[in-house]
Amino acid sequence: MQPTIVQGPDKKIQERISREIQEEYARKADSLKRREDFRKEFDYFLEVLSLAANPIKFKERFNKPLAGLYCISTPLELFDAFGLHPLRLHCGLLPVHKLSFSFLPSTVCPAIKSCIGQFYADNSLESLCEVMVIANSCYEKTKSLEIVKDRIKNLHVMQMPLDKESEKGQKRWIEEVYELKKKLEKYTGKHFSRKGLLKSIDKYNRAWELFGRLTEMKRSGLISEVWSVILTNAFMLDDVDSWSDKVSGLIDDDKGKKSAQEPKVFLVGSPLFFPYLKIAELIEEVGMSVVADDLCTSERMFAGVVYKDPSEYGLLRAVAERYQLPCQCPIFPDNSYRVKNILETMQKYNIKGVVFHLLKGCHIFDMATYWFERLIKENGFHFIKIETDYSPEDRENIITRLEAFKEMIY
Amino acid sequence: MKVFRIRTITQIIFFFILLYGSYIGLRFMNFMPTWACTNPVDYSSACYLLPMQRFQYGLNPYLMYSMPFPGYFIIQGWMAFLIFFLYLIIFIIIFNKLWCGWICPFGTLQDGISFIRKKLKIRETQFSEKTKHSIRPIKYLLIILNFVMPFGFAFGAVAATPIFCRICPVKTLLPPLHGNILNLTIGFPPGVVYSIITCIFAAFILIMIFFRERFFCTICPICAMIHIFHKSSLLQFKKNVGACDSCGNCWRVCPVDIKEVYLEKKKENVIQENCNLCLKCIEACPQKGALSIKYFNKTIFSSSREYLEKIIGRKGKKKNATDNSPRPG
Repeated sequence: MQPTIVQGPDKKIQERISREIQEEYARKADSLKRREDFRKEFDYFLEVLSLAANPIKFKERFNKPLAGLYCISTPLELFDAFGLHPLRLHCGLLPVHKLSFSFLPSTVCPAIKSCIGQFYADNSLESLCEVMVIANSCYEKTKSLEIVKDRIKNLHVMQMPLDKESEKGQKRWIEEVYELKKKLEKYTGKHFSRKGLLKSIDKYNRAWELFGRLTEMKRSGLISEVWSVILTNAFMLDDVDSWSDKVSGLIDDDKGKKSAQEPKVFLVGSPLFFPYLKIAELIEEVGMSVVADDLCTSERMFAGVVYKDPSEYGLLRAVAERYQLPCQCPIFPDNSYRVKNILETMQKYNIKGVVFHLLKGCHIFDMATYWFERLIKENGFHFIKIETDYSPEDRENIITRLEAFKEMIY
Repeated sequence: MKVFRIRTITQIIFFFILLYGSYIGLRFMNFMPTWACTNPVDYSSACYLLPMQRFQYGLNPYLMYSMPFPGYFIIQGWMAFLIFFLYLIIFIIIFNKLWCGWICPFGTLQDGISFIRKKLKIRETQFSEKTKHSIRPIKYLLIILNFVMPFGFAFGAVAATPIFCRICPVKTLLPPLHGNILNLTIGFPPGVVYSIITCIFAAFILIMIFFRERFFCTICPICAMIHIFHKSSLLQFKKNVGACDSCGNCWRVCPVDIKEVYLEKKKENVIQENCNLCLKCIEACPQKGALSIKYFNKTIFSSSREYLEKIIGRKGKKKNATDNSPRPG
């Protein structure tokens, strides 16, 4: 084993923070259950999310080797085809910042502070993962794994080409997916099965299809952004079939009809990780409704894989491209489709303004705001940038700003 | 009913009508811009390029003094050429490239061969952008062979048979389906050399079609001719750039590997020279209204997530998915 690079906090602190984590999950679940729009079907998703605070139970429930994934560009279908349980590692917990503050720069994004802090928690999902894969879309997160590499069993980094529209960039990404396949064969001792991948593609396509229904519900105000994010966050941890069955029930059972509360806004920017739902909750609190978003933990997460060639190469190419080509992460130098899509959706659903959520320290998203704001305003829409972190201290300040924004657009 | 099913049924119907229709008295001559062949003994439709190669009659100076009056064959030849050219324009205006994707019997044969490859799970050959660009001029060279070489024939430089027909791979590959295997032999008309060239060319095309879907369409001179006039058609293929999320599905399912539709960020009219309007790209596009086919500027079919879900999502609901899942590709 390699020498430990960073010594974590002592056992007592770890235990205290683990208690705080469990309390925060419970507190959040309670507050969500008190919401007017709470439905008993949501209990399942809250339970799945709360399992993150109890990793042993999590492992028992899914009873498969865990593969921890960072970034939505890692193809879920491939892990499922190898019999692994893929979970998108994320963390929206404030208490774990205390576990990483001593060795991470203070200006680093809170999502990274939480993710790295999780490695030093008393017990965490990270510690149970047999394989950990990161697509280097976020360079800070990739680099930060160096600090915790002695706590990772099998780390694999996928190099994401930034020129995704070029032949070179596309070939490179397919090679990366092939490389991942080889690594998974090595880790699991299993041979890749084309039929297995085909089954996985069908399973995830079903989830994609159901998420399409959920998005329609959100557009028409039948489900709020908060619950939509909770459902997609639960997808990041849950077994895809169970998640699909539960969401299917939620959609089938839906009988209430209403229209989204005016004014309607588009939520853009840094991702929301349970239990950090601050911006979505505050937008609703001031009387606006989020009917669309382009967060990578919500509407941008699902990819329906379509293939022409059913050979092994054809399937792997389809999977690779579906995770690469439509990816609208701000790291790409050309993201023109992103703004075009947002503008098209805003016009179609009569959305008045854009709320750009920025996690402090996420410089790539911050840099994207300049031209983004300009294009949104040029097209006659309103724009507000909210820069925040996981702490609740700036709540009142954000509410004041959002209320002023509401006055402006309503 | 799904578009791909309607298309498959249409293709099969036209395949049988154009090849065997004569048995029930259907004779379409050779004015349709599709591939068929005059070599079957009793054909109902023949290759469009054949009459287009015969306008050279109108250029032959020896026919100047022919009966029933001087210049009769010149007028007849040019009239024939102009009439067939008029057919082409009319058909393009009405149908654009639907000829290629929905009617052409050689296109259907290519789809059938690809179907076998897919069933055998054999990987499709990928061409680099460079290779695709180098293949591009071939179809224009074949047009030259069709329209310029006949001048040579008219002035006695080349012998009687239309020059393109001498090396046409369709002449070897399609007639056997009609029971005519003469063209698979060495020495069939117009001679040993040409028959060897044709057989080698046909074998090459057959192998290429097997490993690469609709390979012949990327070098097809009829497809190129239709493309020259495609803007005048009432049927148009459009892209709403604002609705596109650049998922690349349109490119991935395209039988002729057209990447330009996915890359297009400004233009609305996105029909490409190799496009055969099979509409697979519209079927595979998850974005509502991002791709559409319009007739008289009225949308007759457009992309939508709901449509795609019906195709790719359906199998996921069942426990054991198989390779038989219907796919846009």
